[in-house]
Amino acid sequence: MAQELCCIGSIVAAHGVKGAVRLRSFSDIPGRFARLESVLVGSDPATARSMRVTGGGEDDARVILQFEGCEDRDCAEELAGLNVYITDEQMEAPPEGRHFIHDLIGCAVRTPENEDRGVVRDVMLLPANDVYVVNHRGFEVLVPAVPAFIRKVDTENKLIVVEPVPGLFEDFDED
Amino acid sequence: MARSLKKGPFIDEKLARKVEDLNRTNQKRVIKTWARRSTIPPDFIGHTFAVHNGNKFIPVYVQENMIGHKLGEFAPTRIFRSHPGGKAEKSSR
Repeated sequence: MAQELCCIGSIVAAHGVKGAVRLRSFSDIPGRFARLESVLVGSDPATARSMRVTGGGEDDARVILQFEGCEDRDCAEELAGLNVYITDEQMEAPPEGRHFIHDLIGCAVRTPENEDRGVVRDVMLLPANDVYVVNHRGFEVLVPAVPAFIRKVDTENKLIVVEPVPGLFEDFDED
Repeated sequence: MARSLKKGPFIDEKLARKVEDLNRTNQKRVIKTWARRSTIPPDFIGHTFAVHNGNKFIPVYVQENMIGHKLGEFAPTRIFRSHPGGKAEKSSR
């Protein structure tokens, strides 16, 4: 079975005339691109090929990478639209108090009394707070990811314990 | 143009009454609302509002830094995909 790769960005455009590319980052890890030595580049994980990173870095607004063997703008423009992947070994731990979205998806949601409340299907990143989209009895229930609602997140055992605040699940409990 | 200071902030009356009842009885529950135009006063802190975005109710947990903003600011009406789906180094709290 092919190894599942982690997408950390997509190449937006060429940058300058020396073969550098500009990336849109999907990573929350600070300084992620400055520490890279090699990545896999491709339109999907199955066709991604390994490329050595020879330079680049990031600031608040943009991420720039330079690959070995890509020395001019024409070569960089050919890479535009492709995704940048890393392997599991290259992945870093999420920031303190946070969890990777792919780890949260599929977690069972239970109350402290061990009542089943469904499974996390997606995570919405919204201005006020992140929201877990929970599939509960065929309905979509939105649970805010704040300490007042989330008691425990155990991504290893795929379990999230939620505080049963009135008004959250009641609408969907009626048979 | 900004709203006249003479009028004070607009706070939805029914919503304010519901929050007042919850504060009086020291209860917490999710309050469903369509009042996106309502300003958030300090009384709303710690309460959760399910704000309608035209399609579904988005839960908004009110914190101190939201005071003075409108409820609708926190329930976007358009879909924005900020993570690529699949495996990525995108994290959530």
